[in-house]
Amino acid sequence: MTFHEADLIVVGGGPAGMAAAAQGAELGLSVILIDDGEQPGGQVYRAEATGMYSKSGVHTAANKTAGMRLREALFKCGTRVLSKRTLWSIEPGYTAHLIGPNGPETVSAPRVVIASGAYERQIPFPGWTNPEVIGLAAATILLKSQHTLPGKRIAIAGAGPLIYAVAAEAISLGGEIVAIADLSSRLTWASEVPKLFTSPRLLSQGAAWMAKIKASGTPIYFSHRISEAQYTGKNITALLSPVNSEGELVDGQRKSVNVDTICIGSGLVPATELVMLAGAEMRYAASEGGWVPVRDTEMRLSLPGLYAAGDGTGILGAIPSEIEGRLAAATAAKDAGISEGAAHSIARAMRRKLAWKKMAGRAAARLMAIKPKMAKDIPGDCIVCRCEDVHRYDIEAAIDNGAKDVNQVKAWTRCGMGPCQGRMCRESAAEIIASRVGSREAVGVWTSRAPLKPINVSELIGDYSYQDIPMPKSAPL
Amino acid sequence: MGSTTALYLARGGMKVSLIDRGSIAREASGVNAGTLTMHMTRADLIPYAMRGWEMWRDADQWLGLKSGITTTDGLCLAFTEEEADMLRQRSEVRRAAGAPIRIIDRSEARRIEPSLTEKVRLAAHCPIDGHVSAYLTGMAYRRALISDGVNIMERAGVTGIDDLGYGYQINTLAGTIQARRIVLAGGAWLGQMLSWLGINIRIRSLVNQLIVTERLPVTMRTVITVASGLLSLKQFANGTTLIGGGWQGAGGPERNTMSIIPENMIGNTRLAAYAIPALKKTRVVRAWLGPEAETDDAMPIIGPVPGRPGAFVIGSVHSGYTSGPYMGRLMADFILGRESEHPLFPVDRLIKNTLEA
Repeated sequence: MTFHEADLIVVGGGPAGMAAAAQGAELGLSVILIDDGEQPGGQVYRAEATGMYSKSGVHTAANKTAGMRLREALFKCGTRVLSKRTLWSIEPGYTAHLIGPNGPETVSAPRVVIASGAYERQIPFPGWTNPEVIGLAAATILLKSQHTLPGKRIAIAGAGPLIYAVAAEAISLGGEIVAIADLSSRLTWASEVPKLFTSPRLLSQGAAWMAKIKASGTPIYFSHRISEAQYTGKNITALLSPVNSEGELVDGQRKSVNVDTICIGSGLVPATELVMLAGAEMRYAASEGGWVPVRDTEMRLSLPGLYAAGDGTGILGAIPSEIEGRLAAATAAKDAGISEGAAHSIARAMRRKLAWKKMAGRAAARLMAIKPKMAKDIPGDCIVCRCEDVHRYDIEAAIDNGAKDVNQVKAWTRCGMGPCQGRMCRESAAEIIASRVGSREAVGVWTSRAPLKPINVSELIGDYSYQDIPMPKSAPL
Repeated sequence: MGSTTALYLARGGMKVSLIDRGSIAREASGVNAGTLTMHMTRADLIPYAMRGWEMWRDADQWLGLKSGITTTDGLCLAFTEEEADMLRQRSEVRRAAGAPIRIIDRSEARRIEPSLTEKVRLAAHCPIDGHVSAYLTGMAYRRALISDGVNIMERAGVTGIDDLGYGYQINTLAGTIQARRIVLAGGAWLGQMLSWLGINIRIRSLVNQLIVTERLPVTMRTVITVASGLLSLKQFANGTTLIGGGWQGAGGPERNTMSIIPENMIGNTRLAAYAIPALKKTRVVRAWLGPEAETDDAMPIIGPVPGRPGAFVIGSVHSGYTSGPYMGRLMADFILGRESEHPLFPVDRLIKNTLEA
């Protein structure tokens, strides 16, 4: 077991984490950044896989430069970067427990900035568990890291800017996008787009995506979602159905498309497993993506020494995340009494910048927020929890039997107990239960448990002899 | 135990309300390892555990619990000569108390459980072990309680109890209720609950850590324990394996204050994979904690509350999942004035101890 010590631990190598680590180190803190990727970058600034010949997709222009700039700053600042590490538990005070290429490691520091990012919200439909159906995030990894198309003929469905990002990137790599189904209406977009003017980079990026999509002649179906997908032997047929502003299926013409791959993602959900495991106070904010940690304006959480920044605290996008990361690190330095003057002025500048930059991020977050009746039309015999084969009717039966919160349903149905640890079904299960019990606040959130990701037993226990087992006192006879 | 007591009181003709500050069978009961074992049961509790085991086996009849119960062989292992001595001695004491335990050698142990490590030095075998999917039993209890007319009051945290002389008034967050009799069955919170009735005894809260792996093909069919009592290991019908044995977590007993101690998680998993090497090929998916009440002598408190007519207490039963239902029935029988098959565990012994100390 290897032990590391630092003044500040930063968890997550996305925009918020990279910026926090660089800022912290610049202010004189010894910083260790923990990330599970091959290289820092996170999802938006994902680096190309080692040895990839760089092609110029649409992402490359702005994002690649921004990502490279952050990575460069990170490597120059003296932060110790621990890549390919899974953080699986955290103890108060704080000690993070990792598993990585060197086996188990611990990192201790009095302060931690959590920049855990987000993952996708998936709303099930019959056929969503077919292997031809993948998440937008998985598609993004293929496109950005490997320059690989997820398929040749692709349907894309979901909510928010990500569907257009994936579409544009796939088109530029030579893929055919047969259809895009957007949960939002044209009108919703029209009302949110003006807010993007606060972020010229986002705006120009969006314009480039749309130009690419338009030039390819790809049809966009606003206020539509996939209501069913059927594997037909070689291809998969997606049924695009109209929805209202609440995400509920409505009458109207349906469109059937025959493709080899479907990419789906109905918005982003803050990844809060770590802040919850640490015991930080949470609140539910649908417009910010769901459950988020309670935070002050300087990024402090409810527990001393704990800070959080970026999408893991509410969806806001890469640019504001970076600012939040800097602010969190400056606050940590201030609280540690290191470079207080400099930290103070950075914190002030970042707070001012954040207010402005957040407008665009929050507009995108609203587009990706859960819609009140999104889960209403999931049929009874549709699988909600794909790890444990839990159908909607199993969840309904648990509620009929008296379950009143998500944890009770989890216990009675095993929904969320599989290897994905509930990340895939957390939202849809909670929505189904909330629609019967009252509200998302009332049904609560699945208790966060260590290990935060499944870990190989062999890696966890390493090589050992019987004498190496730290045996406690025997139980009484 | 509270739920079983309520169930049998109702079946005995009493009008019963079951009060829980959360949902029934959710704190320690819902997250229990669900091990049915004689090897880990305290010797003096063996006769109770054997009755409890029978109740679990027949739970479809009295509880309507049709799935999630497996009765199977149990093996208790020794890996060193010291542990072998301990195993012989402990097995003999448990055998004398009535448990059908016998010492077997390595080859017989590996015949019973082919996935067992060849490093085992000696084993003890018991044909009446098994396991229950603890997370499923709450639903069965709820159905049974409702159909027998028990009034379930949930999310009704008790704030205090008034002795009215002819009965008790229980003040809860969901209103007050009066009753001639009251049974305290609050697990790790019994110390505080007894203090409402003026009884002050020390009840410690253990924080037991549990680890579950992802689903595996059928790997093992027995319940594995070790001589020191520090391992319980079995594979459920769904393929997941559960590793426990009383390795401790931190904090407790409140749910949001408990946290795992990673070193203990590694140690517990090492011991499990030492016994069943096939576990090295799997992944740990989840670990969690459950509080367990322990009195100063680590023996149960089941009986009347001294000086408080009509008040009773039940709890702090070591390896309580095995004997729990029987203990609940025993409590109910006592309250109903029926003859007890086995003696109760009066709390008086601990009050005296406290005064002397």
